[in-house]
Amino acid sequence: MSSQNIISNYSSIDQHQVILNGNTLPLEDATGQSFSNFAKSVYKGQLSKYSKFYKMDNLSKLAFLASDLLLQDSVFTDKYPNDKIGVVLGNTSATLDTDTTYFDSVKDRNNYFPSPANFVYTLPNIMIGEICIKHKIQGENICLVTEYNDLEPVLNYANLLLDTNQCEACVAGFVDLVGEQYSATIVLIEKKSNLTENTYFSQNQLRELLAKRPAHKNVY
Amino acid sequence: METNLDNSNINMTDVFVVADNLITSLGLTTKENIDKIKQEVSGVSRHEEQSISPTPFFGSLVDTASLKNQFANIGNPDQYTRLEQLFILSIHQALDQSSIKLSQPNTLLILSTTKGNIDLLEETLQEKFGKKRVFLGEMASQIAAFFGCNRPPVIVSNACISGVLAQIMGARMIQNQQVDHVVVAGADITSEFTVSGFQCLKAISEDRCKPYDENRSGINLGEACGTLILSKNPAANNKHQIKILGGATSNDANHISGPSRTGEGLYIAIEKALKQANKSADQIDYLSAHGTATLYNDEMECKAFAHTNLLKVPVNSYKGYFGHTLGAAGTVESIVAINSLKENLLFKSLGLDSLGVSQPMNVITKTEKQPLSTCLKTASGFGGCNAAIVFEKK
Repeated sequence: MSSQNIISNYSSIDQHQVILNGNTLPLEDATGQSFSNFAKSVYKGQLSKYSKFYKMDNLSKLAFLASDLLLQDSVFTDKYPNDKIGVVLGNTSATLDTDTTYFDSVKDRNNYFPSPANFVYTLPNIMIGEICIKHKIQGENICLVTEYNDLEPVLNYANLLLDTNQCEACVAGFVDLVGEQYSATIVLIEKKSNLTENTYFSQNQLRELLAKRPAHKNVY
Repeated sequence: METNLDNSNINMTDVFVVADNLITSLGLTTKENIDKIKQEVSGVSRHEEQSISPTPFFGSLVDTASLKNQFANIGNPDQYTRLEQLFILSIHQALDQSSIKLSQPNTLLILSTTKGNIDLLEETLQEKFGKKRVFLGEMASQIAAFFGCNRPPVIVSNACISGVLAQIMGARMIQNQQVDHVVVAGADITSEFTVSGFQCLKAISEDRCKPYDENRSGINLGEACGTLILSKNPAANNKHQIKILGGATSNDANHISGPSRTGEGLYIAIEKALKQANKSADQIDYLSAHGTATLYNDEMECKAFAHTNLLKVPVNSYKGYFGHTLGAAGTVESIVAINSLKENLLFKSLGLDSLGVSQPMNVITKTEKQPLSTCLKTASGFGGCNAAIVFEKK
């Protein structure tokens, strides 16, 4: 793994806790709140208006929140050509959350009301599409599904894209949600040589920081 | 550690396609499929299958009895879902043609699928196989265990570009010496889930699909598995060697379920793939396009092909033979395209009567011999994603 690529910024959202570059955001106590309400309050409190947010399913909302916290000031995206920024995301449950909602609308032939608005969210790379639309990112994209909550395959591929100059920088991470269980980590990976600021995280520092997050329960 | 500042154009390790297998409605081996395609046989037909759709539909379904019988030679069909049977049988047949083994640490399995074991949302099947099996990771574990995989399998789930993207990823990992061999298998089944979904999007044709035709009215869904084995070593006994010269993906950054009106995203992917392959548009002998036969997809592709100077290149869509096989499409269609190169044979694009796109694309209307060495394969999908890969015959 390349040591030339560093994490310029990262965010994580786990069980009502939002962490930005190592600092926990001071949010109102959201204990007991549904993900939907929690997501809405993070969106309203931290991000600028974006009407498409309300149309997204919960998985895309989670990916959008975690990435927009890092990208909304456009500092990262302004630095690189649109088609030189990649998005590499990992996930374990794919879109099982919305799959189940959608399937409930068609499994009973006497109560058959398939919804296009749900069906279009039944692909895990849709969350990548949402991030790309918001920030006009047009480079490499891939959604990798893994058996466990594991950022390593994502980092490995993002590093490969940077090391071979397919991309100048990557939005990478792991975003998973089923019902009220959710976990998101988004990192901005850049080449050290492109960075003027002194504050950044090495990939090992990131691993250590992430190990301190609230535990993510397995759904089944 | 030193990194090369610009090695995107340098041909690092070569990547060869050394073996393949196709399982579709047209047959359970690559040869059976290619023989049918030569005869211009379509695998798309009208089905009255209550478990998939309350109303009859045109689709391309793998024959259940043949699949089960063939699978029984290598495993117990009762222990594996329909999709896992497709994957395992296809991977097994591809591995049989080479000495590469998934149990070796230098070999990686990459699976491509959009919906995996989605039929397990249905309760009776879920009881049989367990709820966990609907997770793609668990499905992959079952397949990996069958072959005694040394490395954890990788799953690419990136809508309809998954199969092309999985090959691009595999090729990049070989080029960068992370692994020596990659088995890339793409599969999806036709289920109530996908049929109802595309029906409610009004994207399904009521007859056989007609890519690029003026009367095209949507897709046919299909199920299939296509497996390619990529290796840093050329194939041992093959008359021709097939190389992957380059590949790239892109995003339209425009709409999650509608293709770009300008084709700009696909243009970016094609330009990057050609650059990596060190080829110009006029060096491409044949273009294997996505051609879903929806109004907007085919027109979007046409604009991208015009923009990349590919309008004169003979082009086809294989959707008229297999329907849209979703996560399998990229692998299945690449395998047919590779066979097109090997046999110097351009296959007719089924379903075209009268060209219905804004630019004069050179759609193949007759299966005929032509010397071929370079092929560009493209794909586009929901989420605004596009992919392009370049194959060359030596």
